[in-house]
Amino acid sequence: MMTLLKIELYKILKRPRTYIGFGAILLIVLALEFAFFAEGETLIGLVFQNLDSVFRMEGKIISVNFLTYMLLNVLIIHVPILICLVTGDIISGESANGSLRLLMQRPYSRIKIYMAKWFAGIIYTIALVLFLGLVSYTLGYLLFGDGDLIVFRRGVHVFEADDVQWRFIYAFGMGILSMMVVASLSIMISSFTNNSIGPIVGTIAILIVLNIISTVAANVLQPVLPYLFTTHFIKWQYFFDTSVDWGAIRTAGIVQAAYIVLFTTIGLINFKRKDILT
Amino acid sequence: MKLLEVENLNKSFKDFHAVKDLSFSVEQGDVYGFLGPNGAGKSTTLRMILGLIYPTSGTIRFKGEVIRPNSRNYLANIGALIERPDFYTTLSGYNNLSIFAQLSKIPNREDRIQEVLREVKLDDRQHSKVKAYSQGMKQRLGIAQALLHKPDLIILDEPSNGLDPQGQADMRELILRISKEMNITVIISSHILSEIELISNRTLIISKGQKLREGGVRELMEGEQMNVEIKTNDNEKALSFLQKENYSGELKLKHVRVICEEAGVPELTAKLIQAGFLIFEVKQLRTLEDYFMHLTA
Repeated sequence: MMTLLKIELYKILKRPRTYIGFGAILLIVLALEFAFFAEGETLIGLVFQNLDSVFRMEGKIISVNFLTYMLLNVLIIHVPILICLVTGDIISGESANGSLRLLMQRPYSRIKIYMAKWFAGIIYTIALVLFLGLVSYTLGYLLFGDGDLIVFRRGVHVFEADDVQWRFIYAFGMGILSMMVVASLSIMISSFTNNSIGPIVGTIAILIVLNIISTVAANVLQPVLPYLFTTHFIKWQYFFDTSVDWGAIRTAGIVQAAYIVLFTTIGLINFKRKDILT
Repeated sequence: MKLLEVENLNKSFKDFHAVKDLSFSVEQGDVYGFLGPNGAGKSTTLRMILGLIYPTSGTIRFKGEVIRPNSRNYLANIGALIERPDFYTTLSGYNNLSIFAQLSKIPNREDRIQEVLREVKLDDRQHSKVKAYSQGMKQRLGIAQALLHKPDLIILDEPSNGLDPQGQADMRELILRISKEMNITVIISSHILSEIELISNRTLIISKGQKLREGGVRELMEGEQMNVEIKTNDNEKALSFLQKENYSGELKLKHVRVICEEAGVPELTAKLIQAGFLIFEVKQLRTLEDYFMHLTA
């Protein structure tokens, strides 16, 4: 199993597509942080002009913590798309180009082959989210330095600088869990097809549709919303409430973990039964 | 000793019955030809042996042990090149082999990779990316990965596909070396009859998923009618004479072509000599190809 996993990681590292995700994240972070560096005070001024009569603001609002919090929002749609580029064709890509046939002629069970690919996809996913955190934080710190965090979510929450680190650690942890759902979904779809693009487009389409449903939150859909995994993609924000709703976070964790298990089991069963015809 | 036994193998894809009650066996040391037109079920059968496709019914035994749907260990003793040699094209030939060597847990990996690369004459291009390889080089790399773990059986599915005549000849030479020098049993499937005729000692002919014949190439053709071309000092008179002797035939530009069994050729030539004809050339035209066309027609 370790040999298979090492080889899967090696194959991911050797694919140019792998670096698109890291490059895109770097560009997103650079664009946002430099935009705030250049015009941040103006942008923030627009947001705060209505609050001037209520709050007396002292010190700076834009800090590494503020920028990192803002950048965590790319976990809702941008990072999932970047993850799909690699995990979406982890099986179907090899199936399409025929190398899966060579791999499966070796004395390894299909379960081991699938799980090695799954673990490799998950490691890539974790690396991508951690890279987002690392780049956001490093660049943010260099450009803006440390500072308190002001969050506008169901009111205004102000956190002191030394009270945010643990919140970010938990938020990135929750983000990783959400992205693991995306990776598991795309790997599952990948096991059903023999073309490289289908699972990538399919996963992105599912994410967009479910995100719209979760965002619109129409009354008629209210009963199903807690069971959609995309509903929980924003639950990392709960760590930035003054009083953290651990119950809601636990539910989000359980729902997303259940989806990971479900998608992986379906993918595994399909891969185990599948005839390799390409 | 029987290395591989296939009994009543069937495979259906929804309504399409791709392989029907197929039975055959491969002896250790065989170069076993697997012959059939495109779509005959050759690749499907080979994929079932390799566990890539699950049989609908039937039994496959390797070294006497039944291969079950989840059996994988037997694959440690089989090397295969199925249809196209598809590798990781962004990696070099060497790196591709390195991956398969790791998967096969080969001891002295580096030495073994160099050994097989020399064997297939790719050692000088081992560090080029596979996407820069010609079709012939990819086929040879495919054979290298199949040989890597020193298997007892090598399965080659259409190994000469896409190769030019020189490439095909090189491939035949390589397969014969694998069989004779490395003592590896070979199953080679092809729709190129001359290839099978030249290298296999036993052959299975299938069509529409069913077995038509199995046996040695000579044995298969025994008792079959064939064309014989004879060049005499007077071809026109020779043809008239043979027609009176109840042979059917025709006059060609420089010879007479008659139909007879292989066993009847000595009698045919003796009759012509006794009748005073001078014989300059006798050529059997029957090949495995004629036989195959006759069988699958």
